[in-house]
Amino acid sequence: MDKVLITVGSGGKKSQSFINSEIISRFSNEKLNILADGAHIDNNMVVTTDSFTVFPPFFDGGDIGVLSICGMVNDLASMGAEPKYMTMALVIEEGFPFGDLQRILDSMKKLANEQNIQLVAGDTKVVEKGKLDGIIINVTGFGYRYKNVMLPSRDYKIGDSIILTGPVGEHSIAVLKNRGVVEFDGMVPSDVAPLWEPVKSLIDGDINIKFIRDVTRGGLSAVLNEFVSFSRTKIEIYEDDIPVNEKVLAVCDIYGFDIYSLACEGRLVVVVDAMDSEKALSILSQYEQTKSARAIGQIIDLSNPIVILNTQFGGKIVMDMPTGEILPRIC
Amino acid sequence: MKVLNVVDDFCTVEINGVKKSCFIGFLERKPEEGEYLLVHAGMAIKILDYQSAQEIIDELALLIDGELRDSE
Amino acid sequence: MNKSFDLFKDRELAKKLFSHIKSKVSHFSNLKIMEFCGTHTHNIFQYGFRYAFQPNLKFIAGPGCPVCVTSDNELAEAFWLLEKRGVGVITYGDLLKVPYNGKSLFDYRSEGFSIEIVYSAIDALSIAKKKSDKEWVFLGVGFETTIPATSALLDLVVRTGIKNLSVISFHKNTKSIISALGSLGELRVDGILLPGHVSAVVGWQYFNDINAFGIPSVVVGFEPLDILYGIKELIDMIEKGERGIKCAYKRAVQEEGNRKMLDSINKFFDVTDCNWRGLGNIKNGGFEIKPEYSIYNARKRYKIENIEVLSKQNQCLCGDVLIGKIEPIECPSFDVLCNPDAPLGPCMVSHEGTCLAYYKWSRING
Ligand code: SF4
Repeated sequence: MDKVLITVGSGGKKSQSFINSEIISRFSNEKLNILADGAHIDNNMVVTTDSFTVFPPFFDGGDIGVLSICGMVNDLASMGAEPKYMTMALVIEEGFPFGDLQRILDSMKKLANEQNIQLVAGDTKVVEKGKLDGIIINVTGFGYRYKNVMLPSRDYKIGDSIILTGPVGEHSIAVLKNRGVVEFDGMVPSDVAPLWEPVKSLIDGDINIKFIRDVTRGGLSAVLNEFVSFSRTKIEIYEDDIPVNEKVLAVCDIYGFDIYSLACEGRLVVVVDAMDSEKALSILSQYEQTKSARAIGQIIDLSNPIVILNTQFGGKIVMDMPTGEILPRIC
Repeated sequence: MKVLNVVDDFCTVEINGVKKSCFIGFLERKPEEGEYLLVHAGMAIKILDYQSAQEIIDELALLIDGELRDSE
Repeated sequence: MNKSFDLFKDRELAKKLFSHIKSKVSHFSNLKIMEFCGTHTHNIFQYGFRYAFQPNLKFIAGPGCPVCVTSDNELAEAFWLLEKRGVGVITYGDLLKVPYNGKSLFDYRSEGFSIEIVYSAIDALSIAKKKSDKEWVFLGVGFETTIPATSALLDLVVRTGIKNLSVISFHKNTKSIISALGSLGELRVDGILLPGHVSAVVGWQYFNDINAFGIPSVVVGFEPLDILYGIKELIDMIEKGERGIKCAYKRAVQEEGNRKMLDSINKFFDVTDCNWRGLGNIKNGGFEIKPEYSIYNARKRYKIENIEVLSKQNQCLCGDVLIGKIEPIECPSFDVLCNPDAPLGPCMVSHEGTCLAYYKWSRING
């Protein structure tokens, strides 16, 4: 490979191997190597960083500004940390409509206020027209560990319950539609949403949480595979229990997409002790963003890291790390 | 996919509320609203025959029922 | 008529039928059923049926994934058009990942070559219109199901007189391959699941040649219940020693096909000999644009002559896998040199590929 391919940033297998062979190999250290969504930099502070690029910047249910704040909040929430401060770097293409920029900043401000997050530093660069497609936003989020919770845990048991907080794929479909890759009437709004509130309630409810990760690029398949390779466990998932949006399913049917590799921006996979599963679900059901949470499977072995999917029709398959870009298939 | 409306050589079809336009120039006749089409890569291949579909489902249900009764 | 065809997605009935088949096949040892169509291969895998009836029943994915059978020389033609003629290429998403000489259309796109993906062939017209500063070639891939779509595109190209769009046909003929395999005596299977979509276009009588090989065959649809029903029907036939072709997809397929589609294929295409990956030259195995439409044929427009085909994939036994001669695990490269991250052949690349399906399954029990 002598050129960087799009798949390096797709969240699938190629991203994983890029991170291992180019980043970890160079920067290896105890905190980084966990490959979590963020890092505990001292006993109480957690930091996370992410760049956002999406075409188009406005889509059904959100925009790139909302996306960047939610992405940061959800990454911190995945570490059990309460978001507090953020920095923001804007890289803007020359000629980008000023009104659009204001709209994006307004939605960021609104959401940051709602989440009690202060912007404490920032940077703005403008690059020559054509050197960039619209706008890239980088945010770095700082949060404090809440009630001494340390995530992810290193302690897993057979039977630990795997919870998914809502239907998958809505974000991908919203963006693909707004980009014109898929065409259909009717709307599937992105699921983009900040998820600290429900996570906080889980912690307040004394749920024994072992692992949280937000489902983003690479979809459910990627997150579950990341979980098994981190925890070195074998898990079993039941397709019957995975919440789906009927419209997303229909689009997948028409275009041949694999629903489990579609991206979300407002869904979590939460692994909890089996004893706490019911209680966790009832807490999650109280929030709009997580009201359709379901337990979708459990850990079945403490070796042989692999994700087994029991299909709706009686069979079993291995759910693999997605391999690349989401493409329509015909055959 | 279910036919919603027909305009010239195209029609709108629907699954689960997702609507899509498809080319029907190759069908043996114009489909009617409410009929189901077999669509492949944006092209309607066939107007589906509901009755034979139901027959198969009935046949399967009978077979499975019979089996369940036998095993009781 | 308010019930939809979701009838065939009924989970409960599917689960019951699944157990029915499971107990039925327990009387057999080592039944081999070949499915021809890439979508069957994909769905049988995705629904979790592919290895569910082992060791009593095995599915063998036949050469019916258009991407898997697209040959090196065809990919070489596409790459040559991009590199040497500077045209843009429009095709279906499926084809993007297939490697030839260590490179795929996907890689070309990363390098800045113009490659557009369409869902439907006729969308190529609007791309060519919109991006009129470039010449475009539509790569027609697939069997009798997608050929009419290419015909429809050709028809539009002729009627609108658009200058910057032509077509190259990589289309393949399913009838020829079944006959070719059968007459080679290579078809060592107990039953065949015939492709539903293709049959809807051509009519199931198209496959009458199969009768000569004495292998029971069933035309099957694509929903979970369609596939299970098809398998059940096929096993019934095998049990009773019946031969011939049965249709288990009557809502879409009759003996006769779709006249208008067949006419449009005949209007624009001639049947010709054609290279299939792993299988070599197949008599009447492909479709080429008729001479009277040569100006719309990219092979003629851009004077593609013999392009030297470099073969790096000679350790790959896809050809043998595709006809059910060997199982992936019998290929020396399987999981050694060849895996989903570094696929040697299309059977490991494609979603429909047998080697990929086998690779994934082989890890379930660890
Ligand atoms: S395992 Fe790889 S090399 Fe062997 S036949 Fe399959 S694709 Fe080809």
